[in-house]
Amino acid sequence: MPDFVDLYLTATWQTLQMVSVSALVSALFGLALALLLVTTGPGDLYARPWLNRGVGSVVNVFRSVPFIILLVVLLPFTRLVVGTTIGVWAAAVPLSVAGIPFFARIAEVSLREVDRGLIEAVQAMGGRRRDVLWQVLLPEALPGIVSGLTITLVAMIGSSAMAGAVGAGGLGDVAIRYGYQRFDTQVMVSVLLGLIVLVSVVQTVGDALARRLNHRQ
Amino acid sequence: MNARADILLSTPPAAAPREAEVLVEFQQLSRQFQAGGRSVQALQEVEFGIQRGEIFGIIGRSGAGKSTLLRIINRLEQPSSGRVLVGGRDLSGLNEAQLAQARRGIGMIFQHFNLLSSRTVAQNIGLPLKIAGVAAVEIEQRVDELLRLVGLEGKRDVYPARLSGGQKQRVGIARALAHRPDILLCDEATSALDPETTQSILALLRDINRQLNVTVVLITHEMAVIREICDRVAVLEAGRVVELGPVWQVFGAPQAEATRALLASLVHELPPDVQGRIASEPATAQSELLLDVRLDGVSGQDPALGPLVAALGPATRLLHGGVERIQGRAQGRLVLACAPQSRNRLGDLARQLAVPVGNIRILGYLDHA
Repeated sequence: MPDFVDLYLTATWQTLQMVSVSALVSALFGLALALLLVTTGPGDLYARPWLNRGVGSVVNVFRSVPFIILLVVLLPFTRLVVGTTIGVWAAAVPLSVAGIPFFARIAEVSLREVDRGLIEAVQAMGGRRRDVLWQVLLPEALPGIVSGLTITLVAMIGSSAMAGAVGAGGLGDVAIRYGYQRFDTQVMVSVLLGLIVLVSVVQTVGDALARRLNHRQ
Repeated sequence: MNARADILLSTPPAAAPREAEVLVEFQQLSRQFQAGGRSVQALQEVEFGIQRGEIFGIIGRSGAGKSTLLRIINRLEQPSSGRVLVGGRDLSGLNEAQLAQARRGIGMIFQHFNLLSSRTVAQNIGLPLKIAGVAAVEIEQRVDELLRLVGLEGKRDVYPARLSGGQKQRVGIARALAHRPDILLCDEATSALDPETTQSILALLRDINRQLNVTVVLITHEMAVIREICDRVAVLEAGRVVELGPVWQVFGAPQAEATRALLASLVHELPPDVQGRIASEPATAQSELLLDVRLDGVSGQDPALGPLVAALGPATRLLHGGVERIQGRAQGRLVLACAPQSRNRLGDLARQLAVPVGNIRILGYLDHA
């Protein structure tokens, strides 16, 4: 049994590593991409319609490729970035690449929901475009952005199960190899319980944080 | 304070020092929109001036162009042709920083308040100063002053979601005054409020106008708001100014059809029970002559009842109507029933009430069923 405990702890640690690094990268680049998408459309603050369309198309392309295929297609890129194509860090690259456009689209929705009247009010009080960005769009959309990040994290925990394909390990990989392929029900059930706890914790913390940030009620 | 818009404080007009200074001037202003391939004319050759220190109302039905006109003053909208001078200066052609600076001299409040939900009352009021780079200590001081001004000292650290509509608009007003502007633009500022709250917000705007000498430009579709606080009013219809003048004059003797339509809600129409009993000829000996007297306020005299009875006879009855004081002038409509022979004394009545004979209309004869 100590073997299993060891396996279990290692897998948990691997999942946490993969997901937290990828989530951080996705949050930063995804939010930047979302801001770009909502501010460069026709008639927007920094109107660049062609750039907007181009970026939108690229996001759609990445959003349509299934993760397991992305994992393989990105191998040369992964090697370029982290110097290897196997292990936790190798898995973090495709997870991030999939997470960035995913989170960007979710954050975009929150940013678009910010009342145009607020933007107008800040312009009328002598605000410049950067003030609109930092004083209105981001703070007003923050509760929605945090909820969106929660969704991204949970989706990423799911995707990380496929990271076993590049030898990254993690809880999902254990579930597939021991539970599914070797019919080891005990391992399967305990790993699934671990995943359920992990997802529940992420969701609960995310919800609580979003609630605390939301002053609309 | 560097945050203040210098443009609005300098440049007094060279001519006529004693005359009222024009603070906002529209010159041949037009604005077109492209909507679904069609060109919509929102404003057409608008030309008038708003004087420093007055409360100026712009009224019109929705779609008349009043919101566009207001937004052109602080360049939230751009004119298609023509010019707008604010404090003698044309704000077109300014770069982003210059325009931001100029807007600090023009406060604005909104129908839906437009407060940031993520900031407390104090943070909302201080935001224009923070954006302008004013020091935190100075912001604190100014915010406290403004909270006192609008009577919200106790709500300093509350989030807007916890405030009533009237309190939200007070925060909006405090925020708009943060930079001590010369002009306050009010975009349907009371349209989302109940009548009682509307009164208190209008009273606050009047105080700000009188005490801080802030020129107030407001747009509304409610004539009652204009009547309550405005000095002068412009009536907008399909993008054109169809009537402009002191409020008492426009109310007392509306010239344009659009003005009369807007005033209709305030006019005391004859109730149906009287309407149904009017005949063009006296039916019986008891029939009364029915007169409609319009008080236009031009003379500035209040209608005296003694001379009125002396002119029409002791049997005179006041059937319907109302008198209101607008800018100190009694205006309104009286429907009087009197003896048929008083028909010959209408000139006398007009003289007593100091109104033109044309303001007295014979409605007919009232039958007693």
